[in-house]
Amino acid sequence: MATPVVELRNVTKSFIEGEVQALRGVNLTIYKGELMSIMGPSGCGKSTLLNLVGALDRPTSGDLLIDGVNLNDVENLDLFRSRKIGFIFQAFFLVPTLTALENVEIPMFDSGFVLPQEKTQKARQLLIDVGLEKKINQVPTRLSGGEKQRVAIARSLANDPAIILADEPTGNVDSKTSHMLIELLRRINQEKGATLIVVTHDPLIAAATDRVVQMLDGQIIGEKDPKSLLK
Amino acid sequence: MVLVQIVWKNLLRRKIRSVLTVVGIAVGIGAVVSLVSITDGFVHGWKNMIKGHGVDLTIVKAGGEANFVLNTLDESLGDQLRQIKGLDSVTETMVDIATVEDKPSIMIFGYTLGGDYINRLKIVNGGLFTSKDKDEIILGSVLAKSLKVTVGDEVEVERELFTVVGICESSNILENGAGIVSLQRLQKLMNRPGKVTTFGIRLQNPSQLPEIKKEIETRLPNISALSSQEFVDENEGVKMAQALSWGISLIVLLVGAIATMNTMFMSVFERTREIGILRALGWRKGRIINMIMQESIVLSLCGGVLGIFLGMGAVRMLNLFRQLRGLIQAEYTTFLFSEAIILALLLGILGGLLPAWRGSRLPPVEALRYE
Ligand SMILES: Nc1ncnc2c1ncn2[C@@H]1O[C@H](COP(=O)(O)OP(=O)(O)OP(=O)(O)O)[C@@H](O)[C@H]1O
Ligand SMILES: [Mg+2]
Repeated sequence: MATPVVELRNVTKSFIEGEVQALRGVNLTIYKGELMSIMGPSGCGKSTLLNLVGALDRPTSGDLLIDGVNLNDVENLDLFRSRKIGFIFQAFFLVPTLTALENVEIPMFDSGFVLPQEKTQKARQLLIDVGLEKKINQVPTRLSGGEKQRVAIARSLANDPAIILADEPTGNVDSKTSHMLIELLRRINQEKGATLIVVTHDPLIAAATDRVVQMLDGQIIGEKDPKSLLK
Repeated sequence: MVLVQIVWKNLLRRKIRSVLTVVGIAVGIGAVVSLVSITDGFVHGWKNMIKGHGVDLTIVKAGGEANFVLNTLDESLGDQLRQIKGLDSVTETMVDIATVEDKPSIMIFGYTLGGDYINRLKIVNGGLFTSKDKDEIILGSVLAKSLKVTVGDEVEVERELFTVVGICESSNILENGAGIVSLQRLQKLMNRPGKVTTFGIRLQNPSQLPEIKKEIETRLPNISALSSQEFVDENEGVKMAQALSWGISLIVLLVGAIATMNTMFMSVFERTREIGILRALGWRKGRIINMIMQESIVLSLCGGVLGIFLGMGAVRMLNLFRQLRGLIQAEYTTFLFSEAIILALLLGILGGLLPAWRGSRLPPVEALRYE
């Protein structure tokens, strides 16, 4: 029997004092070790949903459970986030002044006490794992889009998160690179057993995941068979 | 990697802005350092002079401690003082401000021949005056130099001609810039017969100072007996110099804090999204505050260190001016350097607080959406 790792019960989220209703009652259960994708038109609430699951923001109403913990009961979301969640963004969001290695070390600052040399050692290994051993000391401006996103993927793994959230991770790279990136994410999902949630507009990316959730207007309208997307 | 490394790289991102902020702070701190070192030198010189006179207690009119030049005592008081036990010597003196040649405010001391003050003068050229009534003057070395006169020349003091009989050199700038005539001659010159400004008292046993001070003050009302330290602390010029350095320190603190705040606010605003990213990656609010405060403090401390050098450089420059040579005796103490660094630290903390608070309060989701 699969264990639920994320549970959303009737979750709503509105902005500007209710003027914008980005999520209108979302119910969704995500299981441990799943590699799933979320699709839907622009503005339907995908990023909003991801931000809630990533404990970056709180729901307006409803319950959100991560690893069985209701986030409404969690006082300090920062600590929770740094221990449980890894983020990957469309625009990479690397810190421009820091090298690849230093960027990967960033999440390890507030996740509990780690010796500086241990941080560095771990970051180096993660960069080797994503195939960037030759770029470890490069700053982001010296890296290609695909390389930047691989640094960001390594960074998302820094604290061995239970859940990795990727908001259009292939939105800024060409199709060949995006194929390579999704294969990397698949491998991480299999090797580390982390739950992976990928928001994407690209049917080919969604087709490479195990489960595809369809959103529209702040609601989940159903699921699709990944294989059907390849047609 | 540790936080300071990130802090350092962040500051190097905008080199010109960081350097300008550091220089701005440095100018302020430099002003404090030069001003305070000069006033400290002045106070120190003043103290040395009084110690150098070898007197343990100085008698001034009660209430006239701050400006003894304007507050005179009767010469006859000396005889009353001499009746008190435990005193080794009592010497009357007078100080006044006079015009010498074209220089309007020169200190003129009236010393008693054979008394404490005059016996300790270090004469480098010529000698002491020969009689208490002659028109003779001893000049401090700096004054002699700036008047371009030497032993045997005549100088005009308050429209009367005096012959220079000696040049004296003291370890302090006040005496070096002053003139010395006999007490009686000064009383006549200034039209203050029978008046003196202070009595200098030497004790047989300096450890009796507190008791004797008390006895003098109870026996003779309307006078104060001041130890050298008290005499320095009560001086109007010293007080003013100290008030001035406090004032300028406060202004520098305020202006420096505002300049730092401006820089840090700009830096926080332009890094809005980056702060959101750091938060999304698990940084606590406290760490954001820590990072911004450290940036602010590194800037201000750099400014503080540079400011110390700037201040010392400024004093050197001032000493290059002919008119000021020998008159400025800057004194650099560890206390002054720590004060400069603490001032810089304080201004960095003050300037960083609001921007740091603001940066930590950015909601991460908003910050990530920020373009
Ligand atoms: N902080 C916010 N303040 C106001 N409105 C917001 C905020 N965040 C999201 N919205 C609105 O909520 C709706 C959903 O936004 P969201 O970013 O989740 O869409 P999305 O599905 O990720 O779109 P896209 O595919 O373009 O990224 C949009 O109408 C958006 O304008
Ligand atoms: Mg989005």
